[in-house]
Amino acid sequence: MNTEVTLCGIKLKNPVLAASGTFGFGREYNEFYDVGRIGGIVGKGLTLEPREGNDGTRIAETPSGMLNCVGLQNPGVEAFIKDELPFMLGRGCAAIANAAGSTVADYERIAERLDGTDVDMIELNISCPNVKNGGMAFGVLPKSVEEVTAAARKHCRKPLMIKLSPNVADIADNARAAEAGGADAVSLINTLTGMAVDLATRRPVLGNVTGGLSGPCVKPVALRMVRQAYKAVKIPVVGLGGISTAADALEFILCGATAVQVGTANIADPFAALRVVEGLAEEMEKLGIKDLGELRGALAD
Amino acid sequence: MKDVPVKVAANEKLYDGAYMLTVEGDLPPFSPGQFAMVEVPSGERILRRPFGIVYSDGRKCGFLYQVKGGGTRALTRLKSGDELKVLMPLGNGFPVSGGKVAVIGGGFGVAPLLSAARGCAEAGAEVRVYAGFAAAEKTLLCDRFAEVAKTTVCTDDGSAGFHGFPTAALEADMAAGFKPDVVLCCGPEPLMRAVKRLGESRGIPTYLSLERRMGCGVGACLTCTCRIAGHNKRVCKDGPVFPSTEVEL
Ligand SMILES: Cc1cc2nc3c(=O)[nH]c(=O)nc-3n(C[C@H](O)[C@H](O)[C@H](O)COP(=O)(O)OP(=O)(O)OC[C@H]3O[C@@H](n4cnc5c(N)ncnc54)[C@H](O)[C@@H]3O)c2cc1C
Ligand SMILES: Cc1cc2nc3c(=O)[nH]c(=O)nc-3n(C[C@H](O)[C@H](O)[C@H](O)COP(=O)(O)O)c2cc1C
Ligand code: FES
Repeated sequence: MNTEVTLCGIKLKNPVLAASGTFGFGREYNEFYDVGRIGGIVGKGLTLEPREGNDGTRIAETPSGMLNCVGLQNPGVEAFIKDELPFMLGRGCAAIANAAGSTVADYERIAERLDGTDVDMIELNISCPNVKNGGMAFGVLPKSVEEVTAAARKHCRKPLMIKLSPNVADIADNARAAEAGGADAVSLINTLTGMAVDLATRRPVLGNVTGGLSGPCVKPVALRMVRQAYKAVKIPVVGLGGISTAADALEFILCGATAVQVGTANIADPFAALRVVEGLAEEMEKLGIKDLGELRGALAD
Repeated sequence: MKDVPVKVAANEKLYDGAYMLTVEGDLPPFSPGQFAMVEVPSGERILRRPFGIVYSDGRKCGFLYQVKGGGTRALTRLKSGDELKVLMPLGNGFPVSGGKVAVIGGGFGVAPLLSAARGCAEAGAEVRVYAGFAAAEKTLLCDRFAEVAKTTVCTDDGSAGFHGFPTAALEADMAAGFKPDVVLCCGPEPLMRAVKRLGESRGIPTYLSLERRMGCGVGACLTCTCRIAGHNKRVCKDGPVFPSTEVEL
């Protein structure tokens, strides 16, 4: 059974990555299992300077999902490089840095800084819904997706993956814009903007009023968008949104994903990403396939 | 820290809206004041619920819970023999010390304090417990506290024990010469605010156990943060217990 995949020239022992913001930098879950057993870790979203994130309530449960408005709390790129990256690099799986900014110049500088490190890949978050100017502005219009991608591209030689927002008019246009800007891959979806309200107090539940919806409830939207992106571009597509089992992961691969990410499922179950990895062989056997390449994109639509 | 498969041994109603869930399994040791993330037996609720560990002997452990919303309502339907997962022990817990210790709690906030009182008593401390409730029929764990320390039960309406808030009972003892070296507290925010003021005004190190909505419970998702000494810290991993001087209430 071959679960190995190659993503932008990087060999992954399996296609399962931990999604940004749900896995810290891997330390917490490494206390439960050797996180080197998954395909790779995407670290918490980084900004040039440390950020405290949003005040007030940051999480609300929803039917089969959750809303969050963490607001990119992170130690900043320099502290990441010094304190967290060595740990990620020592795990024996791919180390992917996720970065966000408020201006094109921020994206250029952070891409340049990360390019000078040993990270395997950079995922640009141009779609964080939870901070003002948190990249979401860049993620909406195809023109700005292309612009910010091209700007970061000029400053880094490492594989560059653009994380697309689902809160857009046409996901295919945005995937094409990332490709045109020089992206090596696109990942999708980030969270869907949503809200929870408290009838009794007549107030929003979240401190930031709105938050990003994730978890099993977003999977149908994510599958649809991954399929559209796959058809729109030639670069690899990394699929995520509501994956909690190996079968879920294979559904994304069937729609065209080269690799997948597991996010909210880690929050619900500390072993989630590992369980997805461990379940792959059995699910592949059920389908009578020996290599993930046999399934990739093969949806008969 | 382990994700332990457990079986429900009992799920006892104490009064309307208050339950004690006892689970059985191969449980890891815990420190006083630590908590657990308990799986909710309801398909559409993906997040676990945080509860203080009332006691654990390695085989059995107890959670005292208040029925608040859908998740805790689902918990009330658990029956003996039902299986679920419990992630524990989590968080830092209370400092355990000798000397003189005042343990003060209100309502369901008494849950993590029993182990704290016991731990300090076993470390040789003179422990006094002040446990506040709305009324006699709403008291919780009082017999258990009385087994480990001198306990003053307080009720808002005077229907049992001391008539008034537990802070008033502690102040009365202090006026009579009890000089605690440390104060440990968990309860509703108004109580914690009063205890913070009381402890700090007398220069007594005071520790508060905070509550925040949580996702992972293990420090990875940053959804449970609280302003601690000017920075957003994770209540689940850096807390839930913090020195009162670092907490803005
Ligand atoms: C460290 C810690 C220890 C706790 N210990 C106890 C205890 O020993 N006994 C007890 O009765 N309660 C305790 N609580 C509070 C308890 O976790 C909540 O009352 C419970 O999660 C409510 O769930 P629900 O599904 O009934 O409510 P809902 O309102 O339907 O829950 C929706 C979401 O909000 C969260 N939530 C709602 N209220 C709270 C709250 N007050 N604190 C944290 N999360 C909340 C839920 O976990 C869930 O994710 C503790 C909370 C924390 C953070
Ligand atoms: C608590 C939380 C924090 C997140 N933080 C980030 C982040 O910093 N950067 C980012 O690109 N995506 C972030 N995300 C989005 C996830 O990486 C993922 O795109 C989204 O949750 C959908 O996948 P899921 O349903 O598997 O969680 C976060 C999601 C959650 C739930
Ligand atoms: S609940 Fe995830 S960091 Fe505290």
